[in-house]
Amino acid sequence: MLRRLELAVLLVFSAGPVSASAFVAGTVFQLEKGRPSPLAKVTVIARAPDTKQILATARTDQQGRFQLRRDFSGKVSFSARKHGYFVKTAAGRADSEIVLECHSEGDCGSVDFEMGRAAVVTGRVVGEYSDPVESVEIVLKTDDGEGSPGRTEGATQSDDRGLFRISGVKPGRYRLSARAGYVYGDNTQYRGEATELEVLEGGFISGIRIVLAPVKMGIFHVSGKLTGIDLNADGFHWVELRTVGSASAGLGRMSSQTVGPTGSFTFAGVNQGRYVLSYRTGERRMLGVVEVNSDISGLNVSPLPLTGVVGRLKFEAAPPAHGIALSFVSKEGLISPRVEAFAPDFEFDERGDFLPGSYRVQVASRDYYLKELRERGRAVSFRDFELRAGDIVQVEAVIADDFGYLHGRIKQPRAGEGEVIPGTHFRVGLKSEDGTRSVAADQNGLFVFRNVIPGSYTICAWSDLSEAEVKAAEVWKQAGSAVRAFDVEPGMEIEIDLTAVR
Amino acid sequence: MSSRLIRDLTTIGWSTRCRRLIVSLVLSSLTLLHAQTPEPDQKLGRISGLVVSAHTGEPLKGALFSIMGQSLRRIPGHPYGKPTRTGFDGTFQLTDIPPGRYYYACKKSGYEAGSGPSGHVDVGESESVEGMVIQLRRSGVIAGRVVDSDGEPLPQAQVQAYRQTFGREGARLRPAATAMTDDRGIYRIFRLEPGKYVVGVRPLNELRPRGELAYEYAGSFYPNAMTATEAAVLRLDWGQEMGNVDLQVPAAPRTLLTGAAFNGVSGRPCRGCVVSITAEDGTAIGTVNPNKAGLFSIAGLQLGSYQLGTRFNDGDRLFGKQDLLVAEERTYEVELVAHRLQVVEGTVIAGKPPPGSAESPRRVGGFIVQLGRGGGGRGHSSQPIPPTGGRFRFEELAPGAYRVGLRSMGTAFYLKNLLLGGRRLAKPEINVTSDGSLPSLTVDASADGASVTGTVEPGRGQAADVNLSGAIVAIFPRAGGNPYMTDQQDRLREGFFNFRGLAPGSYTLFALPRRDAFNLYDPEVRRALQSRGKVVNLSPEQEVSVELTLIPEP
Repeated sequence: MLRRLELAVLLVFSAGPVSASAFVAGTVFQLEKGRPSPLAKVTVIARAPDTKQILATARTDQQGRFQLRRDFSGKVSFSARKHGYFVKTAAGRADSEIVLECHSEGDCGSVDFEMGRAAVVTGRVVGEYSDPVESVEIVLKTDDGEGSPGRTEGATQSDDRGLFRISGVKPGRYRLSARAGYVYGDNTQYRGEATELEVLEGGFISGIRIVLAPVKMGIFHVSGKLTGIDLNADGFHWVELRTVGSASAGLGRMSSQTVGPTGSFTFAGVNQGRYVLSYRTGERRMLGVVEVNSDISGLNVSPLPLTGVVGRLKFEAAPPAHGIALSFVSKEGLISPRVEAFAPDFEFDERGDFLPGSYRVQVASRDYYLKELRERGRAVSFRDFELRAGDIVQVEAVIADDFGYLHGRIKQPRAGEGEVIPGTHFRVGLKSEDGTRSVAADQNGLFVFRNVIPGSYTICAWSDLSEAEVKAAEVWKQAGSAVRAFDVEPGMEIEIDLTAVR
Repeated sequence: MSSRLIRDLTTIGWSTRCRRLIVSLVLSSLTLLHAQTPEPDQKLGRISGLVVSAHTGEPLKGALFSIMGQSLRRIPGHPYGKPTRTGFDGTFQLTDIPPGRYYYACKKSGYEAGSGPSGHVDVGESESVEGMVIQLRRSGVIAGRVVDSDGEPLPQAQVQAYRQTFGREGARLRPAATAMTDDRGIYRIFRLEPGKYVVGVRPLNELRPRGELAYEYAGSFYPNAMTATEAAVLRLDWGQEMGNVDLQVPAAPRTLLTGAAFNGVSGRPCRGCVVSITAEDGTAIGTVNPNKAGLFSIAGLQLGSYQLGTRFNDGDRLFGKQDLLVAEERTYEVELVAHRLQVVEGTVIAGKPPPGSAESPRRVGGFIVQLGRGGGGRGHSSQPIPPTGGRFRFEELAPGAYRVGLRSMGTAFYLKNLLLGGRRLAKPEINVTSDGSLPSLTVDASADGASVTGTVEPGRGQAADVNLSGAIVAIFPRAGGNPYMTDQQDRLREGFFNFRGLAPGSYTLFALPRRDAFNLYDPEVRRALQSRGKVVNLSPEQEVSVELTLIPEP
C-alpha cells in the first residue's frame, strides 16, 4: 500500500518543479492611462481544448507574473480569470484564450494576458404598487438579435429591499429581464419587461427600475383519451405536454399528468401555443402535435409507430475522452432530441423521442462538427435527415475537428490608414443557413472567429445598430460596412479586412 | 349567502381560550377532512380579509395569500391552488371556494415566511367568510462585509448564518440561511426568524485540476474567530437589521494532504469515486475527485480533526473512511481503503392491527424502519412496509453502530422490541461489522401506544398575548426509563400539540419558546427545567390531555 503513497507524492502541485514537464510563463496586466499595470491574484487556467478539462492552474504574484509547469503535451488552451475583470487579449490576440502546442520537457512559450475592468449593473425590482419584491430572478443575457435566446452573462436574485447587483459583466449589448417565481391564482405571472443595455468597459450602470407587471398565463383546458396502451401494466402512466418554440405550458416548458384507469387525461391552465404530446412509462412514445387556441376536449390519441436513430460516430479527429452528444433539430421547430454516444465505441440508440419529420443534425460541442452522414456506408447527406413514421434509421455520423479559422480587421477610412476611431465599438456578424454568430472587435478593430464549420458564409460589421436590426439581410447592406460572401474549406485560415463605408 | 366574521385569526393576540376551544375542533375535523368529497353542484363560498403589519397595523400591499385544501385539489386548475396578491389597501378576496377546511399561508418580501400554514378557515356552502385579519412581522437581517487577509473585498464568498440545534449527539450548528458576497465583499442574509445566530464564511477553494482540492482562504466566524465555539452569538429579533457583521478571512494554512483511494476488494485504484471531507462535528467541508490512479491532494485544510470518506460502485458497492488529525502546517499522507458495504435485513411484525385498518387499509399507512448514525453520519430509511408488517432490507450499510427507529405513517405504532437472531436487544442499537455476520433483525411494532395532546399557556410574568409562533413542545423519557422510549418534538400549531405512538412509561413535557432555546438532550439542562415541565405516566393506549406553561427565554 505504501507504494501507492509514493505515487501520491508524484501528484504535481503548481509550486514544485517536476521532471518531464512543459513550462509556460507570462504576466497579466491591465492598461492604466495607456501603461501596463500588473494584476495580482489572477488565476491562469490551462485546459485541454477538446474536453475543457482543467490541466493546471496558477496564480499571479504582486508583479502579475505566473508560471505553470506540468506534463502537458499536445494542444493546451490558456485563459485567465479574476472576478471583476475580463480578458481583452491573450498573447496579443483579441481573444479570451490562446491555444499553444506543448511538448513534455519543453517550453510551450510565454503568454501575456491583458485584462480590462468588467462592468456592474445594479437596480431595484418593485411590484405594481412600487413595493420591493424579493427573490425575483434577474438575468442578463447577450443581445444576439431577435429570435436568439442569447447567452447568460450574469444572473442574481433581488434581496428583501428589491435590490440587485450583477458584477463581472463584459462590455457588450445585453437584455436584462426579471421574473417572479410565483404564478398567481388568476394564472398571471409577474415579469419585468426586458431592458436593453449597452455596457462599456468598467462601466457602472445603476438606477435600473424594473416594475413587475402581470403576464397572463395558461387559460385553456386540454383533455382527451389515450388508447392503444396497456394501462393495467405496472407503473405510472404519464401524458406530457411539451412546448414548441417560445410558448410556455403554463408553469414551464412541460406539464405532466397521470392517465386515469380509462385512459383519460386533463391539462388545466394551458397557454395558447403549439405542443408536442407524448406518453411515458419507462420509455417515451410520441402521440402527436396539438395546437391550443381554445379549450380542447375529446382528443383521441394513441402512440405513433416507434421512430428513431441507431448507429455510431466515426471520428476523423482524436475522439473525446468520455462522450459527445448529437442534437437532432426539427426543421419544423417541434423538438430537438439529444442523442449521446460514449467512449470507447461511440454507439447510440435512441427510439421513441422522435416525431416523423425533417431534422438537421448538429454536434453539441464547440470542438467538433458533423462532416457527413452515411447510411450503409454511403454518404446520404451533409447533416440533414428525414424520418418517416416507423423508421428506425441506422447511420454513421462522421465527426471532424478541422474547423476553419477566420480573422480580420475593420478599418475606417476617415480615421486614417488602418485606424479605428477611438470609442467606436464594432461587432462582426458571421451568417450561414444555420444562423448568425457575432463577436466584438477590439479597440484596434481586430476580430477572430474560431471553430468555423466549413460551408458558405456572409460576413458584416456594424457599429451603431442592434443585432435585431442587422438580422435582416437587406439591412446588412446598409450596416456601415461592406458585406462579403465566401466559402470556408476544412482547416482553412481566412483573413478578411472589412472597411466601414459611412 | 350566509356571512361570518372572523377577526384576528393570527398567532398574535389570539386568545388562549379560543385556542383551547379549537383544539378539539381541529382534532375531530382531521377525519372530516378525509371524508369530504365536494360535489360539482355544491354552492361555492368566498373568503376575504386584510393583511397588516404586526408592528404598525398598516395594510400590506402586494402580500401573497394562499389557501390549501383537499377540496381545491379535486377541481383541476382551480385558481386558488396558487397564491393571490393583496391589493393597494392590503385586502384580498377569493371567490368560488368549494365548501371545506382550508389551511392558509401568507407572506411578503421582508416579512416572516413560515414554512407551513399559519392557520385554517372553514368555508361552508354559499358562505362568505369575511374580516380575516392577518398580521405579518418583519423578518430579521444580518449584513456585513468580507475581506481577505490583505483587507481587499472578497467576492463570491459563501456566508452562512448558523443556528444551534440540539440532538442526541449534542449541540450542532446548522446553516439557517446563506448569502454570497458581491464584488464589494458585501453580503446580506435576510428572511431570518428571531433567534441566536453564529455567522461564518466557508473556506474558499481555488479552481484546480481533477484530483486536487486547494483552499485559498480559511473559513472564519464573526468576529474573526477560527472556530464556531469562539464565535460571537448574535441574538436577532423580529424586524431587526444587524449590520456591520464584518469578517476577515485569513489565508489558508500551509497544510498538504496527499492520498490514495482504492478498492479494498480488488486492490485497484478507486474508479469514479468522490472523497468527502467532514469535520469532527459532522459539518461537510468539501469533496475531491481522485484522478485515474486514485490519487488526490487537499491543500490548505484548516487545523482540526476530520474524517475522509468515499462511497462508490466498482462492481461491488464500497465504502471507506479514515480519521485524520491535522495538527500542524506540514504534509500528511493518507490511504483510503474502501470495503464492501454490508446488507442488513429483517422483518417488521405488527403486534396488533391498529383501529380502523380493517375498514380502510389504504389510509392506515405503514412503517419505515430507520437506521440512524451519530456524529453527522448518513442515516438510512427502508422502503415503506405495509401496516400488516413485512420484510425490509438495507443493502448499502457502512460498518458501524446504528440506532434503530420506527416511523409509522398515518398510525401510532412504536418500536416495542428489537430482536437480533431471536434475542431481544437491551437497547434498540445494532453494530454492523465488516464481515457481514449480522443475523436477521425482528422489529416488533406495537399499536398500543399512548397519546398526549394539549395546549400551552404563557408563563408567569409573560404577556397574555405572548407570541407562541415558533414555540415547540418536547416530550422526553424520564431518567431510568425503558431504553426503547424515544423523545419527540412538535411545533405548536394554533396553540395546541399532539404526540401519538408513545411507548408506555414516564415522560416529562416541556414547552419552549424556540427549538434552540434549551439543549434538552443535556440531562443537566432537563434536570434544571424539571420543575417547569410536566410529568406524565403513560400506560398502553392511554390518551392524556395536559396544559403546559411556556418556559421563558433563557
